[in-house]
Amino acid sequence: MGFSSIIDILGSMLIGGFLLLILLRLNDSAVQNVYVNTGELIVQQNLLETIDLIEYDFKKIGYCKVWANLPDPSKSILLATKHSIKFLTDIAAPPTYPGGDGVVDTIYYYVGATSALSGTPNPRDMMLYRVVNSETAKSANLGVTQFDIKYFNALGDSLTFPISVPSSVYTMQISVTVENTQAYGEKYSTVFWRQLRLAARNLRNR
Amino acid sequence: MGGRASLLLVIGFSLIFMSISSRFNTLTTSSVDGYGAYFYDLMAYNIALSGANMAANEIFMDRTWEAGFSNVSFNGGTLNVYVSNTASGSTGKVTICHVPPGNEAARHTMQVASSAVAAHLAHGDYLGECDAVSSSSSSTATIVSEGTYGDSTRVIVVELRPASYSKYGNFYASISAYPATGDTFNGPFHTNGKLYTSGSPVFWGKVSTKSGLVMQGTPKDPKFYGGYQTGIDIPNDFDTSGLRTNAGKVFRDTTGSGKAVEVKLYYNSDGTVTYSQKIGTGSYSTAKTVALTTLAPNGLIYVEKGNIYTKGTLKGQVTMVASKKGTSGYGCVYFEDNLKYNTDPKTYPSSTDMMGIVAESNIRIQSNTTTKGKDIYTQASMYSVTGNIGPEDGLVTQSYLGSWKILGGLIAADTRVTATYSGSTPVKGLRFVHSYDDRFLTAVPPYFPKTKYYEIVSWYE
Repeated sequence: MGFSSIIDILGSMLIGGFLLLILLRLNDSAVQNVYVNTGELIVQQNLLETIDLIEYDFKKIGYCKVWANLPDPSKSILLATKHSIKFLTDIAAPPTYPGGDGVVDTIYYYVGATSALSGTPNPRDMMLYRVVNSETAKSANLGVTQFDIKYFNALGDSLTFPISVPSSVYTMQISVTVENTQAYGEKYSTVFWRQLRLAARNLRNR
Repeated sequence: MGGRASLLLVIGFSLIFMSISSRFNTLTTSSVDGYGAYFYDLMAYNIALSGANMAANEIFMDRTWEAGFSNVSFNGGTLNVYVSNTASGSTGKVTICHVPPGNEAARHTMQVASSAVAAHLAHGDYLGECDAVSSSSSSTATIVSEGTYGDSTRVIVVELRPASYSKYGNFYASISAYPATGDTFNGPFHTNGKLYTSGSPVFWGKVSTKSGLVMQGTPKDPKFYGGYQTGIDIPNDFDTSGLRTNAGKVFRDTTGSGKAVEVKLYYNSDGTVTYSQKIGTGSYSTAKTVALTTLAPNGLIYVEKGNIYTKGTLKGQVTMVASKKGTSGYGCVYFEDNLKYNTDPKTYPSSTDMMGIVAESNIRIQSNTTTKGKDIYTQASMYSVTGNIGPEDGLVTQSYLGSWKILGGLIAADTRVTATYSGSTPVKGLRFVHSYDDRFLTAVPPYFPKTKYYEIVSWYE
């Protein structure tokens, strides 16, 4: 084996090493990017699922298919706090009862404590609960880190907490933030949605 | 050899990069797809919302409107609005189940003209009701608004009915006394003028005005716990003569000489009514006691060109109308004493006792030996078309300070004081103590006057 062969081998090893390093780096980068992009997709899907449900329910505040069963829809909001709301509606699910079954239901939305999800790496995520009538609370960890509601009266002024007369609520602003429950290098993807003035039409009827 | 290896290396890396890039592109596209679908859905909703608002406005302007909108290009999408309206006058209505295209969950029972049935069946509707649960027989117009944007369709269903004056806790064409701190109003409140408030009065029902709101005093903080809306014009120009046609019992001068009549209607807790009448300057007829359902089977009693004097305990449902037929001094209703329900709806919300009082002129608590020196109870929805509602002067200035306890509504051209005040404190007369009868939000006394407009009773989206 001549000198040139040794140089060839060393050169090959050097180049091969560089290529290996590049491949490793590429692999790491690819994993990170896949993680981040998949995380982005998941949080956006989670946000859409969340707001679809919120819009579906909140726009029915004060609604009842047999409207006489809810004589004064302006009094449909029973509880209004910054992170929770309880209201009357008719939420029987289609297709069995399109537009409701004519029976007034109570829906209660609230978020749990961040400490309840200490098992997830994200320190800010909370459970978003939805309770229909007296059923067991249904929830899912969709990575909700913010569920804030701001309330406004009939003159457009924001109401201060605590709100002692929930029927004074005329419109509301809902802010929802969703993050990954876990992230690569703790770089959590964040998506935010805000309904500036959600006016449930039945609150203004009659 | 080296060149071939390099080529393979480049191709290999390219394949790896393409694979990763493709994966990233898929993820990014999927993310955007979600918001794209949300955008399409939102646009479809906005189109349906616009259609519902436009159709509702058409019905507010013309209560017989039933034309709807068909395949209207709107904001980049398509708008279809179907309307069923029992006030349209068209006959031969057919009940169908309307199924919005691609959105069977939003199906809705409608009454459509027979000429429109074929078009409905062509797009997948079917005859008969959709489901066992119908909205309500007392809503007379239904709007189904469908907005389509791309492949997304949203549906809004609106139910309307003619609004009755009886739903108001307080309705005044104009208000000469300003609601002030310490005042509490129950039930819907309306004025066709401008609403002036002083300080912080409380309104528990929805408040509507024609000409806006002026807040005065300190703090300028009226409490509208049932909502507030301005720009609402509800003319107070009901013509009572139309009620005569439907009346189950009409009291009038039967001699043909056009004299006025005075009618006493005393209600008894067993469901009967004791009545007598006086024509002109004559004397009262012998009192007769009959079942209310016999005197006026449909619950509507009409006094033509005369006054009504009433008291007692009502068991059943009745609306009394006093018309003046163009003659001043008539068209009044006088309470000779308490007028209450046999079954108090405050204690028993399912009570079916219900009274409506319509007077072309004033409604008064008579100042007499029975009404002086005690609290007065009135349970009814009272409508004074051109006058106001309250005690006679003798009760306002009496030395006793009692209360006028009302359960029901006051609909009048103007307000009337009930007590004599020293500063802002009542010292003589009757304190005004008003409670709203919640049943009037959904139920109406027999033939009680309706406003010219429809109201939305249900909005589904």
